[in-house]
Amino acid sequence: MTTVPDPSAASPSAIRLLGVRDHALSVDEVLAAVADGAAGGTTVFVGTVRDSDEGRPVTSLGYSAHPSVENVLREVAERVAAAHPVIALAAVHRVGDLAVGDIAVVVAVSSAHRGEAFTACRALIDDLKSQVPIWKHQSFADGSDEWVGLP
Amino acid sequence: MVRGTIRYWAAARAEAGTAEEPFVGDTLGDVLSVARAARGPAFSRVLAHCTFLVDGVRGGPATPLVDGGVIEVLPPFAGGSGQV
Repeated sequence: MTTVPDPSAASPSAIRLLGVRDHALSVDEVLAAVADGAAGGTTVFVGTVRDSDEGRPVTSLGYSAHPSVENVLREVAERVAAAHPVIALAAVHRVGDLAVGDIAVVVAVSSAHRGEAFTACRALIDDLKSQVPIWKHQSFADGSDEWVGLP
Repeated sequence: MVRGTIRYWAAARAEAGTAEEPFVGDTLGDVLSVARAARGPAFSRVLAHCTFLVDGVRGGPATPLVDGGVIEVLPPFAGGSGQV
């Protein structure tokens, strides 16, 4: 049977790519996922591992996730897509052991106009960081370590 | 008294020294009291900032437990506080 690709069936919503991965992330992949002829602006946010935290040198960093992580990421993405006039959005987060400079998270939003893309992209990364069950463990040069988010 | 499994995640897992253990108790509060009593103050400090899922639903001290149930101990997520 021959089928003709139906764009609306292939993309039932604005959510084009979501993922939680234990290998290197690609900004190009995320940008390609939100590419759309109707878009006039695309905003991308790239989170990377910083070499210090509150003045202390960071030597290594690990992200771990709860098994519900992909479901919660989808819920967050659905809320952002429903609340903002986006054409497409995408979000991927790294888990495992990362080095300074590695990409930890990439989110992107395309919209008809840049203002909407900036606003929705900010909402997507902020909601992802606060609501998606991912934990960060930092080790410091002085041998100490901490779980980020605990006082 | 009912029996089930308690699962610790991230910082809670590190302080508990285990990813999971069996529990015996009628409410979430009972089980957490037993878990705290078995460990030091560092564990209690982490627990004070955790949220708890009882069979997938957020629970409090009075939440009843069922046989074979699962309690999950979730510390704050990485980006839930601090600078943005």
